[in-house]
Amino acid sequence: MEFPTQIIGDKGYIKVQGDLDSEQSGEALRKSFNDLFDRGKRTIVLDLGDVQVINSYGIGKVLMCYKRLKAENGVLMVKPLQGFVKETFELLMLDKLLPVES
Amino acid sequence: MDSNCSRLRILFADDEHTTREIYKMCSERAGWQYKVVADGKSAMSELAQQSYDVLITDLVMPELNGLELLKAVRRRDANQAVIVITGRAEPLDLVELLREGAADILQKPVDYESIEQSVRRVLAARREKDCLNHIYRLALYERTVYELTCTDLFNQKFPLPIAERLYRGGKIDLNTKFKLELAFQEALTNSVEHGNLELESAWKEIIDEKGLDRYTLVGRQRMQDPRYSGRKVWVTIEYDRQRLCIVIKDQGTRPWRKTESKRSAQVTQCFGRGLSLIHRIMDQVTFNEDGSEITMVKRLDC
Repeated sequence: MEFPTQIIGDKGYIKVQGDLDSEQSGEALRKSFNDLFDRGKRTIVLDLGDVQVINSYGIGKVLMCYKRLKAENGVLMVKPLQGFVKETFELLMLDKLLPVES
Repeated sequence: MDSNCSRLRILFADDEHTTREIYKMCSERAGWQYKVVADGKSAMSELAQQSYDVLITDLVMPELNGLELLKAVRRRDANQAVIVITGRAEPLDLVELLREGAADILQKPVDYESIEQSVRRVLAARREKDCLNHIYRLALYERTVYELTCTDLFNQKFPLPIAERLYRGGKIDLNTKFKLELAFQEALTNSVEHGNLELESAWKEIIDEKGLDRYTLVGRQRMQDPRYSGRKVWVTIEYDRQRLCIVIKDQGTRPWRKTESKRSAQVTQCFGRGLSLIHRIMDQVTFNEDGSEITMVKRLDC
């Protein structure tokens, strides 16, 4: 399983579907991220608008993407967060780490 | 038509004129108070100004479709009953509608009987729910103990039923319910993975040539090994009106030392995020001497 990706200009977009809290969803994120990364995209935007639940496992997968991009002077961004995902990000202060694409 | 139904306020949203006329006829026949709008945005505006017992919406509408309207409405008010009318929904659409909380789904063409019966069903379900919610409000004390295996918990969610009951009884809000469930899941995962399966967090950053991390690989292997997978987890959930106490005990031997510190400044590290979430959500978190038992307490403002 992979999440849909899209390239617009120099940015890659990943539309995460369902909850980000399991090995299956983590693997889907990894594959979608690798697809964009291997195509040379170093600014990648995660759309978590359809995600209702994200736990420490899912956050770990997001941070792995962040670290890989950072190692190559890239940027991981997120679409504006809402609901419980926003709450979880704020609990761990991830909202300070990942810029929001407006 | 019984008197309960005739006092209902129904909001209809559909972009087809003919269907809107059918809704008006149905409502007048049933004796409902009603409003009919032509799109999702108008429905949202109307709900912001007035309360309705039921929202009946078409699935396919321009701009804000029925599914998006359902999500937006339920996000604003989780108790709002929504019936979705669909013409040609695929099975996956139906699953998503139910997942997002549609109270009922009707297929076009609709007539008076199908709409009236659907409203009755939704009303009956809500009465049952209200009755249960009333019972939950009356609860003074509750204690439940579960004995679980790794197989019950590995890569699976074990629910926290008390959180749902407290929410439906009006003891906690939706935000607190979500946070309690998250803290509970994090603690269970820690007990199974770091406790019983003895997986080390640092393994998450050791990636093999296939892109698989050591943590996941060893986890799968140990789930096939009865020496690990046969270990148990005991969960004790105790509630009185002032507090909710959750104790989780595993049979892990823990070759490393578990700390209790809140790692607020180290969010990018591979360890401690789950524990950090637990500390931020619960009012009190303690461990026993060998780290195999965690006690989490949340004070309730009842």
